[in-house]
Amino acid sequence: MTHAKRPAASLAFLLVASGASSLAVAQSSDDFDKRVRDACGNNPLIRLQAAKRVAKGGERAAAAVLRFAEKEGNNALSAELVVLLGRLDDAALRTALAAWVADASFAWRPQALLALAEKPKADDRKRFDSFLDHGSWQMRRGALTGIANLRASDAPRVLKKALNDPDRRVAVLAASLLLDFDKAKRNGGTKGSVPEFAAAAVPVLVRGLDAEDAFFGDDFGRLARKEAFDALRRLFEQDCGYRIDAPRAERRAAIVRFQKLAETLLDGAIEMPEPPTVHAWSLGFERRSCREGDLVLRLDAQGRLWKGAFELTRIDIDGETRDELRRLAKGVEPQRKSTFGRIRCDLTRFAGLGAAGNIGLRAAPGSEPPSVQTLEKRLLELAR
Amino acid sequence: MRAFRLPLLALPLALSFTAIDDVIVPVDYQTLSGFEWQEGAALPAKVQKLHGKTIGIQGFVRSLDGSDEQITAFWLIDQNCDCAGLPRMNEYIVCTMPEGKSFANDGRPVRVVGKLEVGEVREGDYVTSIYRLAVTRID
Repeated sequence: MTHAKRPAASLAFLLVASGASSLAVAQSSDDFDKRVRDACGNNPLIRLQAAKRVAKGGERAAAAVLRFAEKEGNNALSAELVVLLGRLDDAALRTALAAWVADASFAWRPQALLALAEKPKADDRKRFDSFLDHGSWQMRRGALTGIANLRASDAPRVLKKALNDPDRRVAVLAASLLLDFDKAKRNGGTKGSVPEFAAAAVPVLVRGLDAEDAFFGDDFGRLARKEAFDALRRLFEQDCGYRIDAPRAERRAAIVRFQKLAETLLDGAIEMPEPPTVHAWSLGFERRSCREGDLVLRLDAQGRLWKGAFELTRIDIDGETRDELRRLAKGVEPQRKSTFGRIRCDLTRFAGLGAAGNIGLRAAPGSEPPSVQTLEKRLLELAR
Repeated sequence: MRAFRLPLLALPLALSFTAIDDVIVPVDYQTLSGFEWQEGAALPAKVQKLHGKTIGIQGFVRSLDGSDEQITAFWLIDQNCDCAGLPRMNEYIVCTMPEGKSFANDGRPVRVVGKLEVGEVREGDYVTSIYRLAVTRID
């Protein structure tokens, strides 16, 4: 460094130092009890931003969170805040997060698991392992994220196994994490070579670009498409003109372009399955539950009952049962509202109800109108 | 910009609040969120040029007061759960219904049409939005 440059460098250092000092002063003088209240308040826009401030607040913020939970109850915490708490990296808070993950009555279990997964400790491993086969796809995603972030030597094995998860939202995340796992190892200077786990991960990502399963307009596949696209765009440093929300036919050309890039990288063909049959659904039920696991049941226009998302299995029902389901669905009276109970982590959703089949509703489990509960009970019997 | 729509939609609503719409610019979240937002920093030209335009965009509704009935203001987001983490500042639009109008949310995606406002808005010491939409129609 020349003498001429030193004053400028010193000034820059002072500016940076004073900026850091201001930040530290701002954090130390911040009222984190108020921030936590804001992060758990009624306005979701304030919740979102306040939660981010809390997550940068260090041990004083962590203490404020625990005070709030103690005073108001764990379930008064917001999902927005819980999912960011792992960033505080506070021992007492991590202990609380672990307890909340273990507590089936806690309102935000997947968020608590994701929080632990962000900066995991070695002793979290058993906890993550225990959720790898959980019935909730959200819990499985949290577990995989934690194992990947632990950088354990066997993480690639676990992630590879998850590439076969029937839920594309889980399989694509596993593929994305597997690719990132490799990239971190490659930082040693092997840039330009084929990523170590690309042969396993990239085909799943390319196929993920075509993930689609619409539940009365709500596409379960969107998250998988988005994450597959993000990972492939990072890998190939181009977007191939892919649009996540374009209809399947309009996505096709971009998928083929990504497929060719991937085949060149891997020096081998990638098998693309035929697009799945598009069903015309007449009745739909979804249970999204971090307690009991997820369940999707749908009746198609031909009266066939299907279970699952993405990979559907048919449940054999006779004509009498089919007519019974249709009768129960049609018998649901128009409702004055479309949401029942306070929906937290768990919910049920119904579509295709009423005489015209145009009633949809969602509910906290057990809060559905009686006629809907009757239908739900019958569906659950058939799904066993 | 290409047309945007989610496939296989069975849309629950068709509420129009104006007799004649301006030219509707179809917009998707990939366009709105394709940059790293930083508080106080200038927004990219590709989103600034949407300011004042009548746009159409699809998404999931979350009311601002937690209610799903008689919603008069809501945020529109691209996912129906927080399973991929929290929405970033450029991944939601704060929408306001016309005076005296409301609708009920049944959880299904909707297409919202209205005039877009682009730029940071603060509530207290929080930036709460960079995109706001004065709704003229909900499909």
